[in-house]
Amino acid sequence: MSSIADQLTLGVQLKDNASFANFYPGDNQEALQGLMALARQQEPGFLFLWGGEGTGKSHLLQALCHEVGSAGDPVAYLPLGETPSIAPAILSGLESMSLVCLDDLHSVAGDAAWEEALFHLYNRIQLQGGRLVITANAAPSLLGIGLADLASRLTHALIYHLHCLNDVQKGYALQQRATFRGFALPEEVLAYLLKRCSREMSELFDLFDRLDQASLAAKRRLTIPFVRDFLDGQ
Amino acid sequence: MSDSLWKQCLTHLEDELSAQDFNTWIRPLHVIETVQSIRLLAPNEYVMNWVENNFSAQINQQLTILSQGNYPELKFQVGGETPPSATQNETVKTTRNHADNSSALHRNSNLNPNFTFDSFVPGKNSQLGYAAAQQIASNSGTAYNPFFIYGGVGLGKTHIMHAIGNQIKQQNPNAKVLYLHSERFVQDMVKALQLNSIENFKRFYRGLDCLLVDDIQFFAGKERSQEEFFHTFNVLLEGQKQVVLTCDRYPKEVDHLEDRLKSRFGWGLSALIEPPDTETRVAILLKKASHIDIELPNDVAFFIAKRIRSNVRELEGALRRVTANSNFTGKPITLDFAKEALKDLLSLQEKLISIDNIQKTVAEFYKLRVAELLSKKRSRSIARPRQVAMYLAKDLTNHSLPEIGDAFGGRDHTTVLHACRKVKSLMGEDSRIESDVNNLLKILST
Amino acid sequence: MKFSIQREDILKPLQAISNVVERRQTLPVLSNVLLNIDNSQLHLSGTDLEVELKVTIGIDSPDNGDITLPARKFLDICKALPDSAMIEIAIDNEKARLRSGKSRFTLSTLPASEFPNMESVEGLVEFSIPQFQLKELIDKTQFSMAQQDVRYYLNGLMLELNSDCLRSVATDGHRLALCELPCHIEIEESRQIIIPRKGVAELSRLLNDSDDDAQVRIGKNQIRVVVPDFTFTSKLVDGRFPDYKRVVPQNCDKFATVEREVIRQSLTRASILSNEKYRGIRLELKSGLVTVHANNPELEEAEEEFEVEYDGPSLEIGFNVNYVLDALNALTDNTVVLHFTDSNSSCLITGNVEGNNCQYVVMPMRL
Repeated sequence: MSSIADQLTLGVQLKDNASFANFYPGDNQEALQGLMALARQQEPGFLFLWGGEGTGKSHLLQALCHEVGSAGDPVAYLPLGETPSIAPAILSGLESMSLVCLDDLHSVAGDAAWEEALFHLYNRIQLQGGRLVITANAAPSLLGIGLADLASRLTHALIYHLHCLNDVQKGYALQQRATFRGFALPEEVLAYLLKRCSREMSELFDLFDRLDQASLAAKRRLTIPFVRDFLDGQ
Repeated sequence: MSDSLWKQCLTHLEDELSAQDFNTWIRPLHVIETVQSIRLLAPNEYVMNWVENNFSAQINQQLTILSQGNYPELKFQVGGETPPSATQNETVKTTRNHADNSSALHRNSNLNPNFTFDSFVPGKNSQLGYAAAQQIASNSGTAYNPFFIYGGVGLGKTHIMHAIGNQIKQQNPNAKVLYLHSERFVQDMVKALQLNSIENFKRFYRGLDCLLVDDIQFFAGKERSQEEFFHTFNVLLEGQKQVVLTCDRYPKEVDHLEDRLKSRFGWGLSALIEPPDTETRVAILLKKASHIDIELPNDVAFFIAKRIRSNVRELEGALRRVTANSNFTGKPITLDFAKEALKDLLSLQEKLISIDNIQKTVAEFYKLRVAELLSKKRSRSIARPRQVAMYLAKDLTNHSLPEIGDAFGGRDHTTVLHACRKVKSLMGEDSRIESDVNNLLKILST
Repeated sequence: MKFSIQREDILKPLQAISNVVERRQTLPVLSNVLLNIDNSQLHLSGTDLEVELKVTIGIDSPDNGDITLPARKFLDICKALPDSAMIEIAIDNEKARLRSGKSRFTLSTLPASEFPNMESVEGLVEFSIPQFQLKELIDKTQFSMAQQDVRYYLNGLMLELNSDCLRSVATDGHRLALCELPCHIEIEESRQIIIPRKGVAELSRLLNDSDDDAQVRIGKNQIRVVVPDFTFTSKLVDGRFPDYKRVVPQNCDKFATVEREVIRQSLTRASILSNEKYRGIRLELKSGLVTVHANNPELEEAEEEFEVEYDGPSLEIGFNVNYVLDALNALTDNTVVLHFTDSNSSCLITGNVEGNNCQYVVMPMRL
């Protein structure tokens, strides 16, 4: 009656929420260090990270929030791409945070209401001496920000360009994630995944999560036949 | 159990919620916890409503389990460690906040101590404003009132404004000086209206010795605020209290601003701050570098200044980039090092400022077609713009003279060289050429 | 070196040691048992580098010395000798000569110096607990360990040391078993260790129901258990164990109380016709009554009914019947309680007395 996939599982996977320790930096060592320094410092600071999909922007922001928030300081993380659930009104009062992280600024670039609200938030944070980190998919000058006042302020940041991982680094990044989950990904499976699946890092990680779950449900090891069956069943 | 109930609850929530939800909605909450109650203070109503609607069930459930019967009362409120303002009386304040707002305000003028006259680098672009500001600071309320500083973004208007405030405070530590952004004035007023404390609001603002309001263009369209500001403004001026305003343009050019405000803003002195020239930019970089104890070689400062022209903020951003990269790699800052460190930033500039783009912009500016600019025609009306375009290409891009010659219809590099020299000398003689070039520079580099 | 010993005195220790020793060893000396005579004490040791077992027997011999012999062959010889036989063992010229009655054997040896000695356990934490209690902690939970999961931390038993109690937890991701016993441990912060599968199985086999104290010493990456008969050492799994408290359901609102023997027998019968591989059964819980359904690909069916104390809303839920039976077999209470939330949430099985020390969590199958 039941197939094996129907066995539900207990949440016994090791937690590997985004942290600095489980970020595989590749060529982004300098940005990682910059963020770690910002997490430690109490002084004001303003960083701007830009890079394409899957360069780890959200991971880094979550890790930063975790680091600063766990120390007991109030922090706010705003995914600006999730505009149905957030509106410019969410920015008011955020200068009382010790750290504000704005993810995916490009999502609201060109939107006058957002731009003005962000501009005012910037000014208030500046006045309060808080910390601010912004990410986007392009450098400040290429974002198409309509409000010149905001555009010029973005260029004041310490700007880091996040680079994509190459295939070898992607392999390391997956391997590292496996290690954090308490297992090893066999080399041949890794090669198989990189060859057969999306090269997009976020999709790779997502696939990896699903494989992890499937192997727990099926009590199977991560072998090429298992992965192949899994991918075919998707 | 040493951890407070809320702290234990947080641990569970962090487990249960996605990292994004937790960081977006739960981490911003400030908590005031007693045995009987847990008050969760959200930074704003938006967050409060969202948390209450989406997470209160989970929070309640955890607290029920964890408190083992001694379930505390759970309250959601807006509050937090907001900066002092004139109307804060009614909002919830946390322990770190002072009860007496007005005294907190007096201590806090919102002035940035780093923005002084000493740390400002005046150039041809800002001399008038700078000199006037110094006079105003020494003769507060009587020299020029109001003092209206205007100009493009990132050129130092705010710096000069703070410098005035800082000097007034230095001369008279009891002077009630307040710097604020126009948005803050609007917010304060709205809050005062909501809380029925508009009289407090008026008393507070009208009792200042010096009011510095930044970016008044954001008053545009906000009629009630304009009205209130108009009265505040009048009272202060009548009492010979200094008012300093900044704006991104001349008062008359601000849309949706009441005429009586426009005219009043022009009563005192208006000073235009323009983009700094290369020498000033170099001086700004060197000053900034020495302020943060960085040894910045002249050639590096010159290189950065030459490449980044749009505004001072970006100049400082570039300096940070170089400094951070030098700290990271442990390498000294040399010209080659700076070029490497700024590679990304500059290649972006080049993306924006290509020869193509320059030709297009210059052609448009002189109402020509690009084809004409590149043609062999030698009439003055085409040759002069062509020379200006070549000059700009040499000045703004990394291309060599032969490359530029190529891009201009296959001309010889000596032609380009001649054009550059010609435009340079004309700029000293002919103010029209000078203003043309400056305008084009502005268009191209922002 | 020469000594003699009665067959029965050496048989059991040798049996235990050969369990530890792996059959196929890359290192020849690892298939040997170490014999060490010191002051009329014969120490036997076997190891596979992960676990080590040492047994001591009193003998009558003036000699001191040590040597290693092939464990399996030595055991098989002893086993095959008649009851109460005296065995005489003499070592000379790198050979071991065994004599008993009219039997003669010559076994190859390897020098004791080649035998790996597990480094001494630096006792970071030490405590003692009656042997039978330590055995209980293991036996009540070990069946829930994963067999060969990719997640190394699941292939073992987690022992949590607290200042006032000792807790054992095992899970394979489908079910979880937890047992807790009061125990006084000098420890500031609670600590978790993971004993690998093999160490758990051996320890369970070695421990008996006596109330003699077992001395437990836990080092950085080893655990050592000393009882009068033997000293057992196992390496620990290097890693974290998941937060098991998260997995034990907190919000159950449906409780069914039932005679353990009744449900156990009913499920055992129904399980005969469940899918051999996936072992799915379906429980239909109604007020006062449970109906069990099982069927298999051959379209054979089983249906069982039994009475329960339950007055909540109806609930249908599927399980791997083995997981439920394992839990029921491990419990000793006459009456057990099944705690449910809904068809997709884990079920908690406990005894029905206050302060029951064992908890079993089983994740359902989707129907």
